Amino acid sequence: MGALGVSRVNRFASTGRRALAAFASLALLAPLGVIAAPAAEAESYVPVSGAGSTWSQNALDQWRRNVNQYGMRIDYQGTGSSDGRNQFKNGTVDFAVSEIPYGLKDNNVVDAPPQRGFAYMPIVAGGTAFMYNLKIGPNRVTQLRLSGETVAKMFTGVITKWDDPAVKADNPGLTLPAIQVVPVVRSDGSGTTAQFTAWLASEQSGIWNNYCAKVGRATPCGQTSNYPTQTGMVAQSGSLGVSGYTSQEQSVGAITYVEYSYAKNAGFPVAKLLNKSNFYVEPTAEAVAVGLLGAKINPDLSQNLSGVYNNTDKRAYPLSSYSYMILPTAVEGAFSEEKGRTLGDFASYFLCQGQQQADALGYSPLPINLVKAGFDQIKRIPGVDTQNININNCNNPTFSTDGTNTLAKTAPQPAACDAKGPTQCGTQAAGGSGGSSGGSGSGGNSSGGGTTGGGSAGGTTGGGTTGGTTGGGGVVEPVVDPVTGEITDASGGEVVIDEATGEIVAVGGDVAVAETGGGGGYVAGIPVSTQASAGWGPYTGLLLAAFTVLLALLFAPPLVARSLAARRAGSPGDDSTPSGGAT
Amino acid sequence: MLVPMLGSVLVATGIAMSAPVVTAPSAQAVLELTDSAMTKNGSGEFADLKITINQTENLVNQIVRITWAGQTPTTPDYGTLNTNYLQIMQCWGGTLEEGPPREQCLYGSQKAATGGQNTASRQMTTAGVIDPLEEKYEEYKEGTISYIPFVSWSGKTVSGRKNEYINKNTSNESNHNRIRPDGTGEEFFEVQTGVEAPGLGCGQFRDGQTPLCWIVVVPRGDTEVDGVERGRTFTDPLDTSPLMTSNWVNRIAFPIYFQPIGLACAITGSETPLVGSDRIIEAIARWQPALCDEGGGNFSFTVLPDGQARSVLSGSKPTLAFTGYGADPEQTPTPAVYAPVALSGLTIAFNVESQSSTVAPTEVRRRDGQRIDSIKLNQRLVAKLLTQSYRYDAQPLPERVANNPWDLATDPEFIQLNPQFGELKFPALGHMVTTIGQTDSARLVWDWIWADKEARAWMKGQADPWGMVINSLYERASYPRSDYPRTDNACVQYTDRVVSLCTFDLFPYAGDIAAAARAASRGDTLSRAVYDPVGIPPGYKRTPPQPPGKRAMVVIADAPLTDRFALTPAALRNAAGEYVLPAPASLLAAAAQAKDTGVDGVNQPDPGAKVKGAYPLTSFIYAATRPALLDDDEAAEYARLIEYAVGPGQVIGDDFGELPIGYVPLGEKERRAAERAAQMIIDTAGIMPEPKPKPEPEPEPEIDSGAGGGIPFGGGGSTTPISSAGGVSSGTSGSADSVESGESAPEEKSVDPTAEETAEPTDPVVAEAATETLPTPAAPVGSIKYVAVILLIAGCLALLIATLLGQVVGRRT
Repeated sequence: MGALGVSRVNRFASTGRRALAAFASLALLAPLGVIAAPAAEAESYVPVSGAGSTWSQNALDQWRRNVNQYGMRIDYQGTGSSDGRNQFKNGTVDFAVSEIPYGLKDNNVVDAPPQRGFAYMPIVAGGTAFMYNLKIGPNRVTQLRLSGETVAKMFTGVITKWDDPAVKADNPGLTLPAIQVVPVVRSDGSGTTAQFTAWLASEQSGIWNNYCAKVGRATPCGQTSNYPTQTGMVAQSGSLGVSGYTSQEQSVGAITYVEYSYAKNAGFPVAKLLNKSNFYVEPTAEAVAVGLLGAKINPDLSQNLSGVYNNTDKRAYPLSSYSYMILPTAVEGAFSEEKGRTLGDFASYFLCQGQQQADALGYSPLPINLVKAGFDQIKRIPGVDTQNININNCNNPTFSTDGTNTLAKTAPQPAACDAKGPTQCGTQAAGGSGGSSGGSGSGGNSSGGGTTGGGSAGGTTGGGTTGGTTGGGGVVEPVVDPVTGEITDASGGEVVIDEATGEIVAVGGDVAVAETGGGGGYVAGIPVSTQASAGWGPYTGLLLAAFTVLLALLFAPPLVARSLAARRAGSPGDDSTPSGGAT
Repeated sequence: MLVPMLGSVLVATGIAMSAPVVTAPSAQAVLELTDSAMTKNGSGEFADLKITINQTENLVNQIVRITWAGQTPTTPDYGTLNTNYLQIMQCWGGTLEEGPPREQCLYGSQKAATGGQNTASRQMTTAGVIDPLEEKYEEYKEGTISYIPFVSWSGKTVSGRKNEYINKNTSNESNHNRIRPDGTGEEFFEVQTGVEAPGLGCGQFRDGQTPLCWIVVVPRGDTEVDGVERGRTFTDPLDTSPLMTSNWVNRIAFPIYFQPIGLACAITGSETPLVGSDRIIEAIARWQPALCDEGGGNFSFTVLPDGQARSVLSGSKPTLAFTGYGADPEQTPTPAVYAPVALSGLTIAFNVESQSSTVAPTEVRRRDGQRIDSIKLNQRLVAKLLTQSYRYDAQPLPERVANNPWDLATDPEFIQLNPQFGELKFPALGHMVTTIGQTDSARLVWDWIWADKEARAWMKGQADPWGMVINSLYERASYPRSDYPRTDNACVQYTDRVVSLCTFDLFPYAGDIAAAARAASRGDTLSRAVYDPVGIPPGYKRTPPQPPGKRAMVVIADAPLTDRFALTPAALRNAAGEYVLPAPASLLAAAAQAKDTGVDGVNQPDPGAKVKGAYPLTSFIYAATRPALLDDDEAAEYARLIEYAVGPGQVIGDDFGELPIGYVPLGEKERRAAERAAQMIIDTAGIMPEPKPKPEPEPEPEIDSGAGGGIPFGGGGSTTPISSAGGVSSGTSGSADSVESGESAPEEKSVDPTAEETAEPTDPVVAEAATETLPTPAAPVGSIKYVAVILLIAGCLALLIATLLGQVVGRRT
């Protein structure tokens, strides 16, 4: 072996790397090759560690994994925002992630800022979602709508049953069951709780303060990281804890607040929340991006969200916010300039390219103003390589040439049936009279139409605007509901089919919303939505008709025969079993 | 009777690969001796000590196995360590003759608390103990707290209790290693490159130089540096740091050699997105740096549960999605192309160290702390672990499991299978860490369990021969499903605590299998059960990891992760009744029997098929996209990735670009299928297919499009509603035993005419389609449509005839 042990095949030396395949197999035969010092010696990164929020952990974990290929090792423990802030304060981590800043008074205790130098930098946006587990009969509800007031009342014990008139009023299309509402809250110090309670304190202050008074907290109650509980609530730690609990079969009736990503991962629906323009909206990347157009950023980059809560854009999700990293701005304790350089490069990576992953995960990419502000903070990290921080090289999906937020600009308008009122997407109430005509079907004639593209379009738009009618009758013409007509905006009642994908890209915005042909699929008449796909709508009726005939086949002959027999013998107790007329 | 089988599987694994055995039943095979294994003896009072490291060259960031023999046993022989143990650390620099100076060793993060005062520290000041040989640093003698400084490879000197290089979360130091009563012992030690340990710089280059690196073992006897004997009472441990001169002179230093750390990819403006299963994490991490070096762009990988990955695939930006099963063709408006890119196996992975009670026989006591490296599990035992049926797993204890065993280690069925556990006693080995969300992994595990007659009977409520019953909350007529439910939850409110402690605090999910495997290797249960009354707010903090020697964890992982984290995979019973370990031969045996899943180009082994020597939890991982929605650049990048993955990326090895051990190189058939898929992605990029309802992708000769082998979308080739429904509901249990599979169909089918329930393999409650905001796919697949028409017509005809006949009959009478 050579001196200093450098005698290795350098498979990744600039010349050798291209021939990787050959080297890799060669290496098996000759693991001790010749010296080949790397031509280029990129300055190495050093490991950096952080702790805090679980709200944004799903995003952070993906970024951490991806920067491995750039030679970075970022360690992160999702221990909750409060713990993250404490650890940063104590110098046990290099950075923290939190949804709220230091210095806030929480339950009469002020969370003092750390002695070490620090700055706030936004890292990813998202919607605090209301993930729920609700079934009507055997069917999972996926189209629940809630107003802010209803949410507040659920999480303060004012509304205790799902069939409460207030919930019904939000959901005219659902026959809600008389089961207990089980609010699932965080038991640990949580930024998600802080975000939720900040909204409660701001928008539902009456309900919130009453509750605080009731459970013995000082009022006005304000924002808190530690949700005050009372009997009937379930407290779980961590985002995975609340989403995990809510997603269990026995948790029917449960509702929790959690970042949308966790609901997506668990495969569970989230409530559409009523916004200022009286539309019920889901926390999609677009809805959050639109919502955050109303955010006011304080000079220290902490957030003022009242403009988000009250954003009057129809597409805005009211409980949109962002999470931020607490960065060190001085070399002290275990923090060094080498770490600063790594942290800086990591941060500029995730503010730009990393944001591309946000949507798939259930987050929303940060807009340009926040990225710019973030860059200013990165520059304050000691040791950072400022050359790498260039907004022009920033591949963030919200950036556009004219400075507007691409995502917000292209965000679809909400479906008409998502407006507050008697219609409800994905339910009987969506298509007016469609539901009642569902079961009867129109016989075999419609089968042809159903399998073609027309049927597909109808089926997919389903609950949106035309589904109910389509499903019921097997007719493929879009029928505009009177209610729809009134409140339709530019793209309202139109079905726009993307030529590239063959998908509906705009039916008043909501492709996911659809239903089973105006309730025809549910004999019990329980209008729970399922996703319709090509041609399902008409077939519900068709199938139903078929099975009706089948039933008739099964039961009619004996009945007929029996009545015949009875007529014949005059005795209803006759045990003869006629078999379809074979005599 | 099972042992010979195991043996043969093992023998069969010795095929030509750099590291042929994925995992094996003995510790030797988990990390066997390599050509570069090195053995050294101690000196002086430690002259009889013989230490072996299984690998000292060509290292990356990995685990090496260190074993020793010939030394006075640790006292006491269980519990905390007082005297006679080994301290292990990694160092840099010095000369081959002299070894490294102590200032250049990564040690002292105080990560362990199992020995005396400063034994896990760099602190010199130790309650007035003076080292007569210590000449370099004098300060400590005056009582001021002082530390031995650390000098990094980059030339920086740091001191103090906390500094930028020495961090207990990342340090690989192993503070107190037990010497068993027979004088032997072992440790699985993580060696770190400069990326993990920048203070050491191993494998890194600067000015053409790379540091010499070392593993240093400092043996400790029973005498303190001042000559005073320790260990005379139970609370009389050694207290000084191993870096004190009198301790350091006994060091045994092994030079170790790392592969040069490759140049990492440059951060460029863009990355091509990949999404999907956690079962490809290890391979992607290896492929990424090789791919960026080919001259193409970088890739980003977003781990999503398979169900969600299929939603992405079905959406308008399909990216390249990694999943086990394909997406329902009805849900993808344009055709999806599937390329097999990896073959691997799920594992039930253990990190269990022998533990016994004080009344156990001496022989058993002496094995305390030793890794248990051979464990067998059958379907029913895994079902027990997944259904909170052990008392430990259902805290606070509900009545419904009150008569069940406490945990796996006290279950007579498990002990019968694993007699080595008979005398052992663990605080708990009754909870298996699983992941949240709809995954094909979960589906595979349930399919395997459900295909077994005994496990199925047990899940339906029948007690096992020892009287253990399923937690009734899990009792149901129908599995499989695609998730791991945690159904039995409760909270306990202690009177002196503000916050109650809930089942989920004790037993949370892991984010993905990589997190689960990592947790197992660290003995981290992930639970948060340590109450902190003074916290703001008060609440439960993370439970500290189980101390070395007292670990007892079981998780669901996969073979690559199991290997990487040096966990012990269980030998699982396959449908042929053999207990089989995940190894290349057993995975290939299963893969050879892969069947069509009802989605073109997607074949998977059936865990219920009776295949000799097959590892039951084997599966392919597919990369899928929808070329019609890609532009040419994207298509080229995805095709490039697939070509790399099935080409150079299938060479097993430890280096960048190579396939991690635990995957098995794909066969020719799969590689060719993948290459065709790559070509098709390029050829059909951006081209909308004819608006035919079901466009056929370019024909793949060996794949029969219709078969509908029971997995997810039975509609494909079926022609009647009965066979269609049956194919779906019997699922993969189909070929387990034909008698049984017939039985499962009726019990799962309801009279519900919507066909919705039978169309979805998972339970409708947590149906995969609930993922996203997309509600449950209601479309019964394919042919059912036509069935309806036929039925209708037939029905009408029949009615007509019946009526006519009835009239005839009526008339006749």
